[in-house]
Amino acid sequence: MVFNTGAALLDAIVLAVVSKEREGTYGYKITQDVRQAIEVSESTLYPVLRRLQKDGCLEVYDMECGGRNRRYYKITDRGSAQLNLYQTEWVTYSSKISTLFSGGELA
Amino acid sequence: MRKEEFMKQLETLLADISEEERREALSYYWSYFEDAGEENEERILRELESPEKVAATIKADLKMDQGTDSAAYTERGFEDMRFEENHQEIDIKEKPVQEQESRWEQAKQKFSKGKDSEDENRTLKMVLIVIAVVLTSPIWLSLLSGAVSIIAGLFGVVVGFIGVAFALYISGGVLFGMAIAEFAIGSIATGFALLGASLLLWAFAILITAFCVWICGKGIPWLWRALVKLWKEIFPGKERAV
Repeated sequence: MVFNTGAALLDAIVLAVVSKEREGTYGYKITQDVRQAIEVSESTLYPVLRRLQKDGCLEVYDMECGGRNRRYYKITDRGSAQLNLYQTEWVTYSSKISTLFSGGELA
Repeated sequence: MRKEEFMKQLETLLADISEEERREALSYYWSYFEDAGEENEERILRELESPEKVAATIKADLKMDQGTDSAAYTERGFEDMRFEENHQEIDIKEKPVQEQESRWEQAKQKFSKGKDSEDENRTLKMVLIVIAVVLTSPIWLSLLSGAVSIIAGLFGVVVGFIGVAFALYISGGVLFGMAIAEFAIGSIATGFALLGASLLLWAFAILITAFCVWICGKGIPWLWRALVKLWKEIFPGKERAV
């Protein structure tokens, strides 16, 4: 991958991954899912998840699983709104660049 | 290195962040190892590189909270520009391998330098906060005294009710005694009238007791929560301070 992923895009990807799981999902799984789209190291997502949690875009809850507590992340209304915004922005951004790359004229 | 050792080192390295942040981070990584399973432990330890790197990522983001956005993804994974500078310095000068190993030392020094200026910032912030607190004291002092007097007033009401309840219990008891005496030596009709009156007084007393118990158990905690909520709305983001 030659393109850098900025903080906003990373937030958007994480929000998109978490929003797919209605019942919430957990750190290890989020990392594996994000990795299907972009390369991330194992240590990358903790600060992102923590920040999204502090910003009120994600909520966490603990649920017992196999005799121990597992922390689940779930998207909040605020997080969904933020994700929506990111998605709209992304469509504009990526389509303009695609048009440019394919030799088309920007309006 | 096993995960236990890794976690122990990480805990030591995170000693200088807040208790809450440390607990959050440690429990995240514990779950991470457990969810990954024993078979992935070695791969994850390899990819995490070192407890130092993980700790630096966590701390860098805590600082980013305060404004600067210098971290981004590169083809080599998540990089922080502040560390990047160190790499570049070393790369350009092409130092021998042993000296390259001191990268972490340099990074650490850089970190502690950063902390000094942060301390200064904090002092300045504290001074500004003190000035603001003094200037706004007419507002918050009256708010505070209002809240205190509401609580004190409520407390007075409760104490008053308790007193009334006591008086009712005692006079009910006295009337009950008189009723017994009347049954024994006086007229039965008067005895019944007194008995009725005493039971009525006790009923009132029990009602008031129940009210007091409700006030203490539900009403006061509710009022307290309402005040705390109000406080948080006036001064938001206090718990985010690291």
